[in-house]
Amino acid sequence: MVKWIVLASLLVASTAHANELATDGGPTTSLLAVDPLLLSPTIVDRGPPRMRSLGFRFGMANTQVDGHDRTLMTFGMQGAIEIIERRMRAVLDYEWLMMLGTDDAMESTRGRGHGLRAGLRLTLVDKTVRHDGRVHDNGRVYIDAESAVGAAYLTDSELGTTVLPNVIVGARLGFELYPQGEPSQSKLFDAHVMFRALVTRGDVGFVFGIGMEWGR
Amino acid sequence: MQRLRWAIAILTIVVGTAAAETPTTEVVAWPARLRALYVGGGVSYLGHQSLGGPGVTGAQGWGFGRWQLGAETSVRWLPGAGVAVRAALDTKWLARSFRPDSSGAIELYLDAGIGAELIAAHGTMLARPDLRFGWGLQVRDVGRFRIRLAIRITLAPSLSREEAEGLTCRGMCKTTTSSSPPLDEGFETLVGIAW
Repeated sequence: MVKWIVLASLLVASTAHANELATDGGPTTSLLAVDPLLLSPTIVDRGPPRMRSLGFRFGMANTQVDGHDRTLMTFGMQGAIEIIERRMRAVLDYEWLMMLGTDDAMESTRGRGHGLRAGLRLTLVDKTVRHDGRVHDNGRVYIDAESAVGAAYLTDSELGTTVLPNVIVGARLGFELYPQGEPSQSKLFDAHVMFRALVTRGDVGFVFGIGMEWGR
Repeated sequence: MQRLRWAIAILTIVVGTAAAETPTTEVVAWPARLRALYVGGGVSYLGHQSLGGPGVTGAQGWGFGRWQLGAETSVRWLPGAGVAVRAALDTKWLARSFRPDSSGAIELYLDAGIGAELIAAHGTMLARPDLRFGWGLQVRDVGRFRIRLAIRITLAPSLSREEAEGLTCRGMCKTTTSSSPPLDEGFETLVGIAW
């Protein structure tokens, strides 16, 4: 329990400290790091701002858990940070899962779980949109490839508790909107659909999802 | 308990990451007072059984900058089983606000709260505390109303198999092969308006 409190305190203190330094140092982007000797957060100046996004998504998935067919409804939160501007992002997502059994009509609700995944998203094709010859972009449409690894902790009425390592590979189609003239806290709004292959032990399933993100 | 620790750690990371922001010129804040009315549905797990149905939720919140403290009450109909009533205190944090133009904004908020639920089903009545966290989308224009879509995940102490089956089954429950999980979970999706 103590280690979780220490971890949580460190994270909160780090982010609060990052805010302070960003205020003092102007609008440059900062990367938060923990100094291994002093165990204190430090800010490394990395030049122009990197877009950081936060959002949510819903999805449906079909997979097998220990050889049993399961349909999953997923409710997730996702965060991302740009590694290469408008090209590559590192992604972290959490999802709550509801499991339905498809191999026994007598009892359809099978269980639930939590999933955590980290990966990369790479833009394959994109096009910026500009209306009326404006100087600034109005938005962007894109097709991204994405891949991530993670695990789901599942509680199933038939199979008990199980951890399901998984890999996803897929495509994401979406559009981004940028604010037009008005001061906006978020510099980007993104809506997307995703199609993914869900690779688990001995099975390749399918995921479909829709989501939204806010970028800063 | 282990799962509760994971849930708290994950929530801390998400909120912490979202909080590490550079300052902005736009003032993003909740109004001093906000009421909300939702309709929606959800499922609660009781052991390996589940109960679910549509419901109505009313809420009142008080804003303090990007934080809002509030109270809410909900009633859920459990078709063929009974009803569930829940009262809760919660806090919301306005995480993101995108304003495409002068017409309004699309916002993301995170929320968490504690509450108690009274479930009356199949002639059995039972109350239990719970912890809830979630997130929501809010569309606001420059006027008074906001349209909301919310997702909530609930964690509650698990019931014994006998208690769970008393609430969820009429007659005999289908026997499950695994032991009861340490926490009962549930989810709820809501759409509503706030003003």
